[in-house]
Amino acid sequence: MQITVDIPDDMARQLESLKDELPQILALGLLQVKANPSTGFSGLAEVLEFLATLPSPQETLALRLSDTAQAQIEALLEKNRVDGLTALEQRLWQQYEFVEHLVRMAKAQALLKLQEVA
Amino acid sequence: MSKTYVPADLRRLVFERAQDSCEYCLIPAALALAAHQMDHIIAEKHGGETVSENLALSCALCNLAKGSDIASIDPETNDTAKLYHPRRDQWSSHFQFEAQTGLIQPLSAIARATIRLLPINRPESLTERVILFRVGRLVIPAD
Repeated sequence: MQITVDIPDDMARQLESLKDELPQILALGLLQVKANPSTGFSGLAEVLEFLATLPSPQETLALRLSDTAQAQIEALLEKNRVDGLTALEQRLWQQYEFVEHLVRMAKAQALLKLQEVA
Repeated sequence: MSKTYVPADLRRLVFERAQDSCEYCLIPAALALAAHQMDHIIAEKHGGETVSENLALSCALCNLAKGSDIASIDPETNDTAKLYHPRRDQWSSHFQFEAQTGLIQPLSAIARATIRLLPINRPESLTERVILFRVGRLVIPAD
């Protein structure tokens, strides 16, 4: 299907180098629009909101994925082993990886803080 | 798409044996956001069984990067090399940890292929391991 849309010039410039990825970008955007904030990878937003509350080292160390997000991670791992991931699923995994490292660093810093006070 | 059930006592054994840490990148389960995984060292699709000798503890990131692979390319020689097998290969014969940089240095073709594929030395992982080592929470496998 072909569609024509008017977009601002600055966005057009940004999209110039991403022409080939437009269908994926639209698919990801659609996923975000349709996402229920309490489920799916948008659940990762909750992790960022949690970190923004400046939790204590103990609270940071106790942070885990919600059951829903954990189940999605495991489903992607299984799909990767059996069929491989689609380009869209690979993008989702990259989003998760970014947050995973962010949380690991927050937890490592929490461990350092706890050791300093001990 | 069905995920093989690993009985609770076998899961416990795998966690205890690995001292709660990923057997590839050494990140402890307590530091991760997503739960550590029961890795079939030889993937089920290659006939690997759900038994103690074929299971390793793996973080979600290493688990995805490894997928169902059992071998990869040694970047030094471009030859095929088996991946590190936590039950059959001695960690210290293949890897060496650098406390100052957080790098896990390869000592063999197996290690070079494994480090490249997973990838064990991601820049983010180096900082995590340096801090963990400083606070005495990094478990270096002693064979």
